[in-house]
Amino acid sequence: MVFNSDVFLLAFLPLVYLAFWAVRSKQSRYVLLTAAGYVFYGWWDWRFCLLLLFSSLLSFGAGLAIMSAPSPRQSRWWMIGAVTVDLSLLFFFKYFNFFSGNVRAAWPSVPLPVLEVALPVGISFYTFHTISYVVDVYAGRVRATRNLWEYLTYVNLFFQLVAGPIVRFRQIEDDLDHIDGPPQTGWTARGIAIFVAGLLKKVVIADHLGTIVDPLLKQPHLSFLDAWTAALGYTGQLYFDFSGYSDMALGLGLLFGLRIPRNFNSPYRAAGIQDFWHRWHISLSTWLRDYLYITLGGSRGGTFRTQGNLMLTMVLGGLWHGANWTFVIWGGYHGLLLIMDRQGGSFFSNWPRPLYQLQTFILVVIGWVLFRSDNLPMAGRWLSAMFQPDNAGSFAPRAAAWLAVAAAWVLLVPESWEIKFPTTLRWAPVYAAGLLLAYYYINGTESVFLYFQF
Amino acid sequence: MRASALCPRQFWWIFLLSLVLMVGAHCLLVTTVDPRRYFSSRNSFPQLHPNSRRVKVEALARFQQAGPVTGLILGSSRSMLLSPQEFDRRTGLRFFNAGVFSGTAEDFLSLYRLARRNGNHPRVIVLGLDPAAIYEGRPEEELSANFALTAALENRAVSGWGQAWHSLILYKQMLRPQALVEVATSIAMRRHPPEPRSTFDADGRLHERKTERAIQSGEYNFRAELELSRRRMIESLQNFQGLSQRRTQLIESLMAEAAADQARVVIWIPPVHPTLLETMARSPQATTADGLARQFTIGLAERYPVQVIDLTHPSAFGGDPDRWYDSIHISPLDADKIARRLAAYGI
Repeated sequence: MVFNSDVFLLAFLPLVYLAFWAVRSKQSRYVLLTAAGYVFYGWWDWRFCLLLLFSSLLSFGAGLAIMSAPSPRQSRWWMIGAVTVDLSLLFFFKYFNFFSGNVRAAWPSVPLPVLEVALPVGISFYTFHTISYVVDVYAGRVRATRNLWEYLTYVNLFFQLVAGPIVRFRQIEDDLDHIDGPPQTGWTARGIAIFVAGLLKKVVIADHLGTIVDPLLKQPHLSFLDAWTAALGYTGQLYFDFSGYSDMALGLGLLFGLRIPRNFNSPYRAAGIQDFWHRWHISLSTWLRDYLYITLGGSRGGTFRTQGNLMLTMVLGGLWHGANWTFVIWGGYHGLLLIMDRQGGSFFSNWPRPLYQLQTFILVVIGWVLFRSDNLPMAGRWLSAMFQPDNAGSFAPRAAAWLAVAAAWVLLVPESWEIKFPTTLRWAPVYAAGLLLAYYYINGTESVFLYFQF
Repeated sequence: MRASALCPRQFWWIFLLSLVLMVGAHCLLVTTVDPRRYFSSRNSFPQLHPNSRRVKVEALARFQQAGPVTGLILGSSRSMLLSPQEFDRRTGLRFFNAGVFSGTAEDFLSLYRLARRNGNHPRVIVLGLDPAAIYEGRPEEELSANFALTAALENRAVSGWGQAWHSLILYKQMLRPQALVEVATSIAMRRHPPEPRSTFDADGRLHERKTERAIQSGEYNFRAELELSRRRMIESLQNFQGLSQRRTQLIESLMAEAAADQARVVIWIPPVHPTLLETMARSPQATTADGLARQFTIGLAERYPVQVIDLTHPSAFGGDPDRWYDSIHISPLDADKIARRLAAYGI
């Protein structure tokens, strides 16, 4: 089920919302949200629910075991065990075929099979949820909950289950504890406004950019203008798609009395790659920083070690997006840029800010070419076309118009969470008009979110 | 003035009420202006797209008032110029042309079933089986917007509830930017409505008035139309995936029902301009698509008591392709020749 579908907007959301506010006790709201999460998730394939349940029960149990373990050593083993099982499941479903394919390519005599397994939607996201919980309990940053339903609610929140943001238990623990409270003043209006804003970003801008990018990339040969149009178009599409989804998650969270952390902060206005990663998919970049980079030693071991940690973190971050060498290279590319940014930080910071922002943006766009490409030859063809101005191609006014809309939005409009959406009654018709406008574009179309594939 | 109180329940009520009012206003506007004539054929606002399915359903109801329909012409725009009177003269039956623009298997079966539901018993069915009618694709919206046809296609009884549900789905379908753009265009054109492109006789025969006038005045650029239609045809076949299983099944149903009703079926394969035939021969996709459609059509004659007449090449009926509208749409003169040819085949 996706947010921009009839079944979600016309049936699932109204029913779950009404039922949620109709029941009063904390436990019944936990049960309701958990059940809603499983229905939402099982809409793709009910069998995926079993895996989700297993992963949830494992981390819940591990949290309790860590808390009650008689010695730190035993706590450590519980933590390592739970994380290993979680990562093994992720590896099996997401990376095994990639791994075996590469091994067979290198050593054809090694008899590794190709598994006929479907990739469970959102496995990368909920695995990171459960890992963060177990590690946080072990590190003493959070107390393990003894309420299974509260924990299941946390993992299975339908609005962040399949594409994030990657919420940590401690970030919403307080709201979960007070879930039995009445609707908060202003949260309803703000939740609706942010949800509608996200929906509009997705269905109006991202999907239109998609209709420009996808046909271009199906062409066997790209001209210079086509290559840049596709690169810039995808840059916009990915941002509006994913930040739109994140806005919707934020808005839905507010409707259910839960504050989901922000995930974007105008990333294309970043000055420097470090700054970009402070603004893009914030919940992932901070997760990687806290649970991987710092665990590897962070910047505590000298320049060379720090650079190695940074590179490894970014390569693994790239691989998290998908089992493909394009993601690995994209991660490595960003690792390299981060290292260069750190080394040349003082040099770049002397540049005029707009120039530094432009340089960052172009580097990010080049990265997205790797990210979007199905394979390395495609990335190579696309990138080489971007640097061959002699094969200019023809100007496409429609594409240019949509790119201009996207650019104006990126430059002028703040993130939805930054906007102080009016919460007075007179604004209700405005938000209703926004929802209707979004529905005009949703109606009769099928469009999934780009980040669902990760 | 101080802002109103922030009660979530109140906010929801106003939000939902606004939504309902806006959707209601949209539906009212779409129904009143109705640029595609989905809701009614009587309307003072200009029609932007010809709705041949509504025209045919209403014309059939009127036509049969003077006597039952005993001969039915089915097909796409390539059949719509066939004169029912030509068939009447040669067969003594009472023919109605139920061909529709972009007609596909869904249309053929639904129109046949509708004619039967209306109490007619066609003894002869002349089906112009355009290969595109059985290629994979979505049914025309005009068809899904027409309650009588969808009910006939799905073999559902016509009930008030069914009609209400159908209208609800249709209104929901209309919640799109394109519908508003068309409403605005129709309103803007109200003072100077465009001349209708085509008209229909009482027996369903099409007259391409605008094109005919352009041809007579020498303004019609046949070569350009030929080239445009040729290119479009080849482009449309670029992503050919195979015949539609659903559509071929619908044709099989039509054949079976006609056989059960003891109606005689004559299938003819519509002609193609030699220029397009040459281009198609050079395109692997076009060759495959055409070959599969032809194989299916000819195969029907082995399974059902039907005759298949291949008129792909204009020489098969003495056609004059350089007087056509484009590479696939024949002239009225050639339509009459085809009618005579089909009738001479022994209908």
